[in-house]
Amino acid sequence: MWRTILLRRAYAGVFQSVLQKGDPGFSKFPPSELPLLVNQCRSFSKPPRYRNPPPPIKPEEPLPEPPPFSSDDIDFIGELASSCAGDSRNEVLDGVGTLDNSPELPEAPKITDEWEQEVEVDDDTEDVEDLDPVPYFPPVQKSFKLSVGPGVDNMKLLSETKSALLNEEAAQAMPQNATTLLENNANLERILAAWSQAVLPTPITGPMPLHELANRSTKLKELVKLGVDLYKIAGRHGDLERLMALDWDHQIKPQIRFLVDCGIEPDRLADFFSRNTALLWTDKDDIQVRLNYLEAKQFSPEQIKKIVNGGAFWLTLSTKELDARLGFIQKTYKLQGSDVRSVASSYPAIVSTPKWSVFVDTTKLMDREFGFTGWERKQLLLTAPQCYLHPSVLRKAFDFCHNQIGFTHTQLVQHGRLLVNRVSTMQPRYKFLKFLKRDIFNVKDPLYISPDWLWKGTVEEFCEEAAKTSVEDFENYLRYSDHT
Amino acid sequence: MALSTERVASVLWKQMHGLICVYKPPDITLGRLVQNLRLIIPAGLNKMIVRQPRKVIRYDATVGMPVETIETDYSDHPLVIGPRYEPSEIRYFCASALTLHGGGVCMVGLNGGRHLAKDLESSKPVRVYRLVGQLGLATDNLHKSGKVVERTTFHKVHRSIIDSVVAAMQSSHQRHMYHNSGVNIQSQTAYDLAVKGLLRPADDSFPIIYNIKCVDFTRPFFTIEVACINEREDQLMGLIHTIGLKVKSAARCNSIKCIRYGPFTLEHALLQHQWKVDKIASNIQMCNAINEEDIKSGRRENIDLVPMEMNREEKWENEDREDWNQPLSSAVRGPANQRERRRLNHLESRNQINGQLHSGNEE
Repeated sequence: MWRTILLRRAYAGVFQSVLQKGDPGFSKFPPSELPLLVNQCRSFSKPPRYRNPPPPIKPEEPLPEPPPFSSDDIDFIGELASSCAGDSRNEVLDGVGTLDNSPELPEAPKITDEWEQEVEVDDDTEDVEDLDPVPYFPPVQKSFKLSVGPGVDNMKLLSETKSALLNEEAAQAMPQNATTLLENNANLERILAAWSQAVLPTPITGPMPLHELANRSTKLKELVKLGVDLYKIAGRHGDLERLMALDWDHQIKPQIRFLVDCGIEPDRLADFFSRNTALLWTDKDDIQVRLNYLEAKQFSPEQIKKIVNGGAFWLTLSTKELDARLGFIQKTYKLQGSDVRSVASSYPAIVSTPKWSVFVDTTKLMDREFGFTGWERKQLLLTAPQCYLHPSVLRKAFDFCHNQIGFTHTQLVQHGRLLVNRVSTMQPRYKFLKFLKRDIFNVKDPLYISPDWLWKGTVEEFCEEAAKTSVEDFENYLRYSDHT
Repeated sequence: MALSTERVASVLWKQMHGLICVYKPPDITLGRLVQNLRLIIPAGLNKMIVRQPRKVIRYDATVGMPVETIETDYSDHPLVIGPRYEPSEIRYFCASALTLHGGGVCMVGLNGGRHLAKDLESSKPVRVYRLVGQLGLATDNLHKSGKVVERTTFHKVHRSIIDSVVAAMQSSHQRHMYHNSGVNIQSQTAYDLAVKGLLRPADDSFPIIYNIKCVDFTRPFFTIEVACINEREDQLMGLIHTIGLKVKSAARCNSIKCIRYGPFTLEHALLQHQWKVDKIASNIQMCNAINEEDIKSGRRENIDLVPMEMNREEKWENEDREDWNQPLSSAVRGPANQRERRRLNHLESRNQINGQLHSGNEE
């Protein structure tokens, strides 16, 4: 629309200049060329558009003739579908053997023992030593599709037969038909290829499902006895495959022993493996280097033990990355070395978290959106480091505590756990305290109540100690007051 | 914890079929509420005693005599195939008009009890709401969460004014109700209808208010109690807005609270800190008993209020038939299910439109 308007304006300008000056030399285009130009313009030369355009009138053409089609095709396919029985495999093979004599046809795969051995080689689980010798058969293919080639394209014949493998009756007619139709139909080889694919058992494709693996692999059984959540490992891409490539006696067992020697408590192992399976195949030397790094940075043995037990992802983090993260924390919060060590040991997940970018973003958030000063941010990191990893919870909690209740920043820093809790737990308690006029969070007041009571303890404890009422009163207030 | 470990999950799972009455906190969407329930129930059940993995018998024929060993079937182990109870297994149906800002009684049908919730909703029980309005302010979404678009004075508004406005609204709604039933209000039929009980609309298109009263008035706040059917949350907020306009001021809605849903009241509702598997199970038992009593009371067989558009003649032609006391047949009343009715209405209207179009093309 705007385009046509602009064009019209442009042409109006040209006409005006022509009319005013009367001299074709002044305008860009001589008047004789103007109508031509107008015709060339897209918006003028286009035919008018209708909202519901009439259907284009087609000249009556004779329909294209269908390709030649013989009734033998249908008969052949029908018989083929009914006759390809799996039990008469030898007869079928005979038929294929007769076909092999002609030079045009490709060789059909032979059914031998070698074929099955090939399948085992292709399988991923072949390398695994501890798999029990129970064979795994995929579910039997009960139906197959036969498509006829481009010669009979107009027909698009797709025939699907059910459990033709067990149909013995029409199996005998097969070789005769094949020989007779070989002369007529050029698409026979395609059909036969499809047929041979369908009749012969298909090779195992894809990995074995986890519940089948668990009964066959001693390694997985041992891990289940340890308490590892295998379904969580299988949910992550590529972890289970990597785990299956390991050997229990030579790789996993020594690794677990080594990890226990590093200081991981045996109770934590199952949780760690289900969250971070890479612990099982990380090189021992690498882990040793990471532990040595901690010692070199003057972490005490107790701190190292806390770190190793606290962060599932710590030992798989590269030393370079770890050093960068610790350096980032020290620089942005202006911490001393001992503070960095205490932060890392009290809440190791903050350093080893896979979502490191979240932590980096939250430091900016604290500054720009919530207005904490540098010192306050540092104190929060020391007292309530969890809030740095859950910014969405933090934002709602801060909005509730600061804007609705009216806690100052210093109060929030003193009671940092307020910023970790959900509003849905804190709001009912706060409203009840307010209703009782016990929402006195000023320390100097004799009726002072700690803000920690908004999240601390069970409902019964809260009612007894903070609100000094019964639980029934609390529940009745929540039910019947108009402002909740 | 010690208690929960002793309990058997499958026993509790069998009780997880039926109606549950929960207290919906305001400012949480209905979907979030149900999501919480769907997470809480399986988590609680999985902590209890769950089914142990199956045992399989293995025959080992390699050593002389065949040896029979019994082993655990690891393909049935919860660590391999996931926990026994999963959130996706819990099916639900929410029967509630609350959406986001409202709170209070909310009925949810769980698993096998979904049809109970559907029937309860389509039987059109009376819902009672408490609405708190604030005079002097008007917001863009009629709720206190919105942006203030207008400020007015309210010092001349008194309780008597609000009472009169509210009484006028109630009477006009009741007149509307009888008008829609197509009966002369002075006739014997109207009396008979009124004796039967409340007139309930057959359609769910228009809200009907049975009772409004002002419960509390402390300027600028006023609280009204509304008993209605077919309402929506925004319509309730709009009600507060219109009251504000009618008292020559403006008003916004501060809180919406459903205090009664048919036979279920606030005392049956489970508060948010009570959402535990044990309490949910006992609540389901209680709600199912109340629901059965409600069905037996015959409230749901009441005569429907049919709007003018539907074929009134068919209903009122044979007034003097003998089986008048019997509930109307489904052919007259339409399908009992509300969704089915809605679908049929939709189909009907679409056919009409198609028919018009068709005839237009032919011409």
